[in-house]
Amino acid sequence: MAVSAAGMSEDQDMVAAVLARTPGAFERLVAQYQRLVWSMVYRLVQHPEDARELCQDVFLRVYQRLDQFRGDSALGTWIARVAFSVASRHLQRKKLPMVSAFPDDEDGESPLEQVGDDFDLEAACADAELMGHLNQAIEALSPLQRTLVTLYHLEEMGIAEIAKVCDLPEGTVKSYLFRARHRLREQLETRIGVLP
Amino acid sequence: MNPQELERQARLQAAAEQAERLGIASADPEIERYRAVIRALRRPLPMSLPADFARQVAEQAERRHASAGLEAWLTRTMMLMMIVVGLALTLPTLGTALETTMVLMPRLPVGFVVAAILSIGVVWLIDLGWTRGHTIAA
Repeated sequence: MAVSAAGMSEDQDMVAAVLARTPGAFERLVAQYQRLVWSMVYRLVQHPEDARELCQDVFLRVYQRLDQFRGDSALGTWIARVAFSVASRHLQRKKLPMVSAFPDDEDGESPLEQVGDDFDLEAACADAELMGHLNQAIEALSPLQRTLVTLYHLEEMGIAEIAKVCDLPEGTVKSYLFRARHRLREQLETRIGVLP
Repeated sequence: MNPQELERQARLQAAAEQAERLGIASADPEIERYRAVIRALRRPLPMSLPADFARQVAEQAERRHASAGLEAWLTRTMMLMMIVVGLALTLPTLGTALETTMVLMPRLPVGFVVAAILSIGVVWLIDLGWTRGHTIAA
């Protein structure tokens, strides 16, 4: 979600139309960003009914506070930040942690070294069951890691934008992304039986 | 993970990302494993929002806006009525009250008055700072 001059101008036009209460303007805004909001919220809370309600809450809050959008980032980034705020508060109310520590393998051989290099992973990945394993592994990540990998890989946001959305330093975002991908790879290899 | 292994894994991930972006298979099985992870992460999530979600939310937002407007009007009207009733009750005795106040004012300790004004000012500034600091910024 790169911020170009043309993009910023479109954002400003859209915001102005909504604030002027132009018929259909807010509906168009929702239609444009509902996939982004759904992806973020669903990855965070992992419960379809909760996610639907929270998506609604996000857009109602966007409507209420759109006059506070200052235009120094993309509108999508601002909306994503609202979504992150709403969903993470939901997790806090349910006393679910955003971040969970996972053990590092410090002793002995790394599990990755045990994988046979002749294993044809390309062929294996064509298998839907394998993708199912990966999806389970993604769901086992911490809520924050799930959000970061979704924003980076699915929504194609840059590190700087993700840092703004989640209110984290850029270095922390990079570190979490690295660790999440590494963990997914390990879990994939464990689940398909390559690793013990 | 030691620093060298960290760096190696980071290079593998970067290479996998580039290979996936360019659609070029790698001869390195470790890179291919990371490519599989990235492909899984890029798969769209099943959308469970109703087909007319945007319309429903827009209608709800409009309804809330309308009811918020009515609430604000009712609040303003009620405050105005309270001011009118208050004035109607106090005006007859206002003259006497003002005369008594002017007699008493010079007897009030100056320090007390200054402290009261400063306290109100500090509270107002704190409230202003709090409001600005808690606005959702873009």
